[in-house]
Amino acid sequence: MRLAVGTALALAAAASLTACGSSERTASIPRPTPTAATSSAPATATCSPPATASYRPTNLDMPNGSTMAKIVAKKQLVVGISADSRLLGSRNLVTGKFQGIDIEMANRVARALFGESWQDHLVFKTISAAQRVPLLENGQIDMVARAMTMTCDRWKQVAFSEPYFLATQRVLVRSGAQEKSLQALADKGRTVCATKGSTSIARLQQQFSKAKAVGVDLTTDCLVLWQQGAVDAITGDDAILAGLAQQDPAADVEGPTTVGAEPYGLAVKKWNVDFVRFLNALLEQMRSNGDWQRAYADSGLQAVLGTTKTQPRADFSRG
Amino acid sequence: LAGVVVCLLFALLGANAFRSRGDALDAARAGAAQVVRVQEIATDLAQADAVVTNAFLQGGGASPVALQQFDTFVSQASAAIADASRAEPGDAPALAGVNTSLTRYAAAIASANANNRLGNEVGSAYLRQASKLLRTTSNDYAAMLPTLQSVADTDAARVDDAFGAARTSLLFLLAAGLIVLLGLLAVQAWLARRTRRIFNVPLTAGTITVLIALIVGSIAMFSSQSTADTVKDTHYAATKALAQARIAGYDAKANESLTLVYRGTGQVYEAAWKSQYKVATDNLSAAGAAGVSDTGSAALRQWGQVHTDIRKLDDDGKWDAAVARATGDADNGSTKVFGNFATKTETALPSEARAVSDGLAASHTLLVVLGWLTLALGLVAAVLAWRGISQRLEEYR
Repeated sequence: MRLAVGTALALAAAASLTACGSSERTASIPRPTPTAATSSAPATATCSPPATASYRPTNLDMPNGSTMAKIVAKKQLVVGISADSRLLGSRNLVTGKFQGIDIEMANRVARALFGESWQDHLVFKTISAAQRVPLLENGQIDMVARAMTMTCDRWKQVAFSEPYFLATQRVLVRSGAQEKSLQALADKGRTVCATKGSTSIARLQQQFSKAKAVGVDLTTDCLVLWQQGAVDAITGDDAILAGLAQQDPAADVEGPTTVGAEPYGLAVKKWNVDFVRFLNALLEQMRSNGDWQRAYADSGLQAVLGTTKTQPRADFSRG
Repeated sequence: LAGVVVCLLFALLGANAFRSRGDALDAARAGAAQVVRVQEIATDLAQADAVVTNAFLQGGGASPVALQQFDTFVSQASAAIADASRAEPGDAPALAGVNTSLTRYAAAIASANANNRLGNEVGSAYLRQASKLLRTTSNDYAAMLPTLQSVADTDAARVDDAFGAARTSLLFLLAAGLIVLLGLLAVQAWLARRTRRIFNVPLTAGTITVLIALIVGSIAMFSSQSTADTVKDTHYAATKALAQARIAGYDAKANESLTLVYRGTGQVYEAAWKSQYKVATDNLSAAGAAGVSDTGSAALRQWGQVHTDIRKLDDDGKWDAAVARATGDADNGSTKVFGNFATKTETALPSEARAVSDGLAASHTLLVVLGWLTLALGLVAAVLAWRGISQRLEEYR
């Protein structure tokens, strides 16, 4: 009897051994853990004075103790710019020089401060959009020239010059495409790419909701998706689209020039009002001597957006 | 009759214990080889990315040699994916996902290079897309490095299972032997009581045969177990750690280039550099602890210093100087100094991997022989028990 028990035990052990030996493992593809979608519709709030209103210009003098005099004294104007927005601010990969309308503006400010030797004193710092305000506030940069839209919220943190460029929202489509406006694209239910959190994507979703919106981090990501056929069109500021269109001979910037209005201003520290007045004096000088049109042409924007674009209207109601 | 059954049982269970241990060690060896294979794929890919991001930084002036190297690494990875899928079908679905991403990755890199050559900023967006296919998990594709990491982890778990099964077979042999011995003693006692004779010569011989088989078998098993444990804690651990350090190192090298490509917005790549550098450092320490004499950790530290210099240049606004340091082939340049680390680990890795394979194969023949021997001895014991009992019963009649 005892033997039978022993045998049963041994057999049970044998059975359990076989059972552990055959555990199957299969590798799987790791997937991201889903995070709550952040809807960040940009505020298009109005305020008084309006976001486009700046301070009245003085002249191009630099009195002792002024912000301008301090910049001249440290022999350096540090300007925060974009590194990869063609026609706004980007490094020409062939010549190694920065170019675009932001750069044209920075160059002129440097010339007004330093005279003929301005190139020796102008330092470009490539920054991300998120760095614009913090770097101004901690003094690492003296001015931002990085397609920065003047908004009521931003006026609480920085001070802006009068707008140096007024962008409107247009579309980039294939040359010869049938649908050449947001309205036409929406009517056909096409897929349209824009950067996440931008006013452009908010307007696309609110006013042209029949179009399928695709959000990406950077505008050049839209061009990749468009070239790969994943989206039918790109929407955004005309100046940015112009920069994308220049990189693809089969792309055109189309659509009415009346949708939206993004005034780009030069931003400085909030309390450097004297510097803002100086910048506005410079911009008004450019208006009177036709230098703005030269800057617009030299930036390369005119070649894509045409000659009808002019310097934005100034509003000095901030005092 | 019960004695005979018990001896036969010992023969079968004992032989089976040896066979299952042999199988388990074979499985461990195969699993370890698969871990190496999968880590090699990841190394090839990380190396390809390190080369191509560095070339991208040089723009149109990039050396064609770099692009040839890129092609070579991608082809190697592609071939290795096919090999690894064949070797372990359980890994095949995940590896197929990697293969699909690899195709898209290579296409994105081609577009990145073409646009970069033309001076189009969209080139850097293609490079970003490629980098995501390699590193960032998504629901739309299998991110290559994370997927390969998960495949390697699964393979490593299989290896651990196999080592566990090998240990179980040792306990199993001991348990079977003890039960059989007790059984034989019980038969002896029963016969003695029944026949009023104390000793039964053949049955005693049978018991001793089983005892000898058990002792010899256990010694062999214990020695094989200690060899296996040593292999697991030294060469196998070293192989995994060295490969992991290489993958993280090349990944960090690529992130150094990407930080400079996306000047102004490259902070995320610098953060990735920091974490990968730490992974590499930690794994080199682990490899050292597992017995690798020269892990190349000094070379890695030197490269970390070069990287700090590059970051300082860039942060001070000397981007061109930073790029020159990151791309040139100067002796104090990033590529040369990183190369010292890469060479050290590349030299150390194959001998460790071979030691794993050899170490686990070593006891294989012995286990097979012992398995058959146990079977034979068990059968002998059974015959002896049969003779002993029948002899006694005849006398009794």
